[in-house]
Amino acid sequence: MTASTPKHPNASQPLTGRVTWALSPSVRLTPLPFGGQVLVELPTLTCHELLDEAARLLTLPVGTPVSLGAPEREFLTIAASAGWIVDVSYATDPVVALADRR
Amino acid sequence: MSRGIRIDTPYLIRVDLTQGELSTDGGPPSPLTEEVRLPGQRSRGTLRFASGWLVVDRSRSTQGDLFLRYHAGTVEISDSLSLLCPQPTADDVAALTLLSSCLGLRPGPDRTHLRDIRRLPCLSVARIAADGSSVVRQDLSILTADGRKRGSSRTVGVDELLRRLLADIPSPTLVAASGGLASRALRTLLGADALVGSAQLTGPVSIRIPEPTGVVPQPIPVYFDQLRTTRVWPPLGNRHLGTAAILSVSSLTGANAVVAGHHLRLLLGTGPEECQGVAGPLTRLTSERLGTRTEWRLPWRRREHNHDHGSSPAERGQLPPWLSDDGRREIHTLNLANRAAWADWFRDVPPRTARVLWALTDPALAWLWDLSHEMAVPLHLPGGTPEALSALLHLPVRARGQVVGGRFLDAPILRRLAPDALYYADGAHRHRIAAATWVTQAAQTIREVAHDGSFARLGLIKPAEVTRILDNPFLRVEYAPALRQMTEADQWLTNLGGRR
Repeated sequence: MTASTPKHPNASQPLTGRVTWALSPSVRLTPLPFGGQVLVELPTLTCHELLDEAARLLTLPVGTPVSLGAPEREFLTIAASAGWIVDVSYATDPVVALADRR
Repeated sequence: MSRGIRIDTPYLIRVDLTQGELSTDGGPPSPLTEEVRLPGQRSRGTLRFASGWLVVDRSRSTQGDLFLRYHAGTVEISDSLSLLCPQPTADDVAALTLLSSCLGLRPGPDRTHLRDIRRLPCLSVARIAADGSSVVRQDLSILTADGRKRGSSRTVGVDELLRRLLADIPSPTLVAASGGLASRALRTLLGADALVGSAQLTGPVSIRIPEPTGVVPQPIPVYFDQLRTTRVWPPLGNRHLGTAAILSVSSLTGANAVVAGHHLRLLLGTGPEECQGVAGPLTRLTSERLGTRTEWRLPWRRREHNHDHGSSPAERGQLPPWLSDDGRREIHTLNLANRAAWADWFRDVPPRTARVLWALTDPALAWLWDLSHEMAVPLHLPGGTPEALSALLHLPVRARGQVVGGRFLDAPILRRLAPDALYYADGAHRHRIAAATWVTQAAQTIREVAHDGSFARLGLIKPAEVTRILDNPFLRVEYAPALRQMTEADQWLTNLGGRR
């Protein structure tokens, strides 16, 4: 899902890049009154408890510059394979975005 | 007392077991040759001296606790813990029992948080020998014998019975309203003259005064850390806090009695084992015992998430993660012994009676009784008198709350008396929300106490684990009641002073 971030030989190094993902329309994030958020997968109504940092990572606006360490990348991989986030890298690529608009 | 109302004054009786002599406060000793009735309506019981044993018989009282202390051939008996032990130090406190009751584990039937003092719950008989060895057993003969004989569900309606019970209470009465069903029903039964006090567990207590007096209702701020409580009771932030707060402001309102609806909803409810018989179709649909919880999940999710969310960690038999290895081992052992003692206590008792008795023998209720002594305002729990108990325990299922179409419907009488009551799960739910708020605000205090409190110095807890839990909002909410009770009990223990 971190499509615009090139593969680095050293996995422990933080990678810098831009956000190319967005929250999938099939999930909902709900903040809880005492902290933490709950992510609900709408098709199956499965609930997942997310810490605030994790939820913030999922909902960053597309195109925001980010620096991703190993735990963040691992979490994003899980989130992508579970279908919580979708790849919107075309939105940050001006040529693709332009072609899409036409 | 000052208003000329009969209130049971606490008493302290000394019995010399070697001589067989009894003495009250400052009085001369008199030989204990025949049965002696203990004073007080609530702590009713008898003392008997038979063949070297002192027999304390409480089999005819369904409320309140007696406390005993044995020292060198003498037993001191009191119905008030603060009278028996007015100035406790940290050395008198059984820290392990205190910590385990903070975690939601109830001490054994005859244990208190003080090391030398034993508790004698209602519906029990104790035999004490001159060398201090004693046996405490439950005795439920009053419930079975009287209930069957009276058969009051047919002769007297439930609402008539409740009305009769409430008629003896001096007015003006202050209802400790929790927002729940039982206290709302009591308000209806007591009529428009009753004062109504409601305590938001996180804010001030507000007392509503009925219209004719023309007094504008005004909230009285009582914060729970300033709650006037006797030195001997740890401030366990349990579900009785609301009633305690209302008791402590009751003198400001001119109320002559406080009524609380504890146990009423439980008494008028139905247990899972009884639903089995009435719910027919449900059992056929699910082929599971009612009251069990199973979460059905996709096979690859089942392993990572198989605990049930409805009960607290203590109810699931799990100890919180912040106990040190020693603390965990000791509390586990203590809890095994206590559970065995309670299992023995409730052996051969029908499940419904056992559930009601479990609520009536709650050690925290003794704190409420002591508080009512201290404030000189009598406290009434209409669900707990012998008449109410034996009648309500034998109500047919159709007159109680039951599961209808998969939903729990409250008893018809409660729904009739309180049609507009807000639904709450129970006091434990409100208490949990209050604890979560408190823990979120007082994280710094909790951290300090966990690092440098009495329990930490005894090596019972791991401060790093407490910090980890405070940093995670989900764990923080899950363990909030235990964290709050532990912190407040720790501060209380530290303030007691002493060698520790």
